[in-house]
Amino acid sequence: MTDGPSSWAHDLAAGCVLAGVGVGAIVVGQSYGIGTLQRMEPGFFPVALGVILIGIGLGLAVSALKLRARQGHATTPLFDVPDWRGWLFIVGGVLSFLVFSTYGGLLPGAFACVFISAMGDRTTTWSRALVLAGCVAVAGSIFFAYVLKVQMPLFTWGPA
Amino acid sequence: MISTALSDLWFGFGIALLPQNLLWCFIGVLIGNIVGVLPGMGVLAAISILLPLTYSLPPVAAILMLAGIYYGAQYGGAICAILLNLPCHPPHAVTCLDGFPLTQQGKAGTALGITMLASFFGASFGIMEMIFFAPVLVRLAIQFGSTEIFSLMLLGLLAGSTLAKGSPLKGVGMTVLGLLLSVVGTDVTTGVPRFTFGILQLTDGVELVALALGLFGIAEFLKSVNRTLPVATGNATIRLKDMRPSRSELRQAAFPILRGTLVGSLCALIPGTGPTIASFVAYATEKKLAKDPSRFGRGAIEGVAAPEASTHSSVQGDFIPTMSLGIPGDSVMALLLGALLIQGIAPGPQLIKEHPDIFWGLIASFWIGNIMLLVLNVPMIGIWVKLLKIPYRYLYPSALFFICIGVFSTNNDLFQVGETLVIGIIGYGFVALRFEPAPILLGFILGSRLEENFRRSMLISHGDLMIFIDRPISAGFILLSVVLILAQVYFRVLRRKPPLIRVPTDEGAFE
Repeated sequence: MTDGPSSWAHDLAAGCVLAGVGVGAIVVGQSYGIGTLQRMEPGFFPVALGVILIGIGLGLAVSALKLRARQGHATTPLFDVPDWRGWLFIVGGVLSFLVFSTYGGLLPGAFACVFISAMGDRTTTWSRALVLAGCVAVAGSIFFAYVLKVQMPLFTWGPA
Repeated sequence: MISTALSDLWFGFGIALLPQNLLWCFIGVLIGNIVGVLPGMGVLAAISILLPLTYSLPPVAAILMLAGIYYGAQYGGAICAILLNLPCHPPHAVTCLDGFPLTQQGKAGTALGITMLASFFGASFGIMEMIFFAPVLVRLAIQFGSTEIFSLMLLGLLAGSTLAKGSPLKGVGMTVLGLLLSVVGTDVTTGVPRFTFGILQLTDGVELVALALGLFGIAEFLKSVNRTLPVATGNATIRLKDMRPSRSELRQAAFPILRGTLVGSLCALIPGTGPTIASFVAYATEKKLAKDPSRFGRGAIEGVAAPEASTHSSVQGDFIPTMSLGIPGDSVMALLLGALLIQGIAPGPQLIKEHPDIFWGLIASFWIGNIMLLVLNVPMIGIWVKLLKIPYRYLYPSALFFICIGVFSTNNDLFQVGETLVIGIIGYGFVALRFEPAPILLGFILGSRLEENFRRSMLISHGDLMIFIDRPISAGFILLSVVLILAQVYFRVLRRKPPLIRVPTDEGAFE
């Protein structure tokens, strides 16, 4: 579950991630030139943010280690297991929108996106997902194409 | 002063009552109300999905509609909390405590009726506060130089990130990450592309809509899919005539509504303390003042009236710093500010003078919108109750399509859809590490102005950081920031006292 309180393991990982982003910001940022306070170059701001991020990350990590010392090692469960089925189909839904709207147009893109992502729910059925996808695709495409005049053809063949 | 305010307000009503503005205001509050009722849909997601649709609208209509979603959702959220005990929206989490017991006792109608009254009263007070307070703030802020603005932004960012939910340190971390994201793209002063990694589409920076929809749309779907439980709407049959509270109930609720309103309007003035905190403070105040505190949690009418009034007065008050100073207090306000920026309108103290139609039209529309919401909610309560039953498995795939097409239409570029997906997946990672993603938006919106004002201050002072302390107003903001941090350290680290009221850990799927 992605709910539940934050454990020391979360905070430790969170601190490391932030510090890592900070390091990245410094490494890339300094290539734009740092300059001085008076004459700042484009790299100054990102490098400063990177330093702050590293500070925050270390702070989080230290407090996480303190928490571990107090709570002991046996805090279950350490990390969440994502819902792989939902994940696969939601990511797949967006990707299929990219593919089908490029090679097929708005209507096929909408249908594929809704249908595939709907299949990510474990309680749904083929027929339900098909009906939902059909309704949303038709109503949505007409609304976006004719009312809002989105710059995407309803149907097309091959890359636009 | 009062007469100018009244004539300005009159002007505002003239704008807001134009048929097209009236229509967009109605659409906004309607969508807001729907989103508020639907379990698993959030205000931030709704506003970001609709943001692309406002590009073709005139600025006034766009902002009226988007603001309507925000306060409309508060009405809907209360229905959800009282009838189903679901804290779909964080500010209404406390309303569950006494609202749901009232439902179980068969008094759901009364609770809803009182809620509507309290909401309208609280909102009206918040609007009045904005009418009189915003021009005063503007008169102060108009003299601010880059130094003062930088310090004020610093205070706003710190307050916004540490006073919201979750760990303050993580909140600040997310804000800084947002600031870093705002760096991506072409540097305004030198024209150097930063953090674009050779990707052409990134030279314009990270797209606001892609960021918002990635974080509050895709990341939330990834988190909530197959995890939301079906909603049981057992006791949820309400008729209109049940909603009229009796005279004794009204008398019981009158002072709590008044006190709640005051709490909410005070909270609105402190940056970073939005409606959620206001509602908790109002509830705690009522419990403390009550002759018999044990009634709370078992269906005390005060426990519904006060938090709802404070939520609504603070929601309206939230607009004060956003519209008068250009400093958003939370991520919803940041998104609205982003909508103004997209329309080519620079936020800040000059906004009221340069675009009086937006400011006064917005205020007038608040009132019109709140009246619309009363009309929408009181007679149509049965329809809202039915909406509660729409299952999540139909909601998220449809919303996903709206996200895809909405992001595409911002630039007519599918690259943005991919960008949203990547941001969503990374955003899920942060959510899984127990970060609150909302402050990212706050940092992202303020980032470029923060950098610019810092640069300018340093040019003026020849690189002397003491300038922020030498100037009295700026020093005041810095002092407040320091006090804020020290207070956080004191309360969180040194005392570790359990909070006054337990905040539910799962505060609805979104936000």
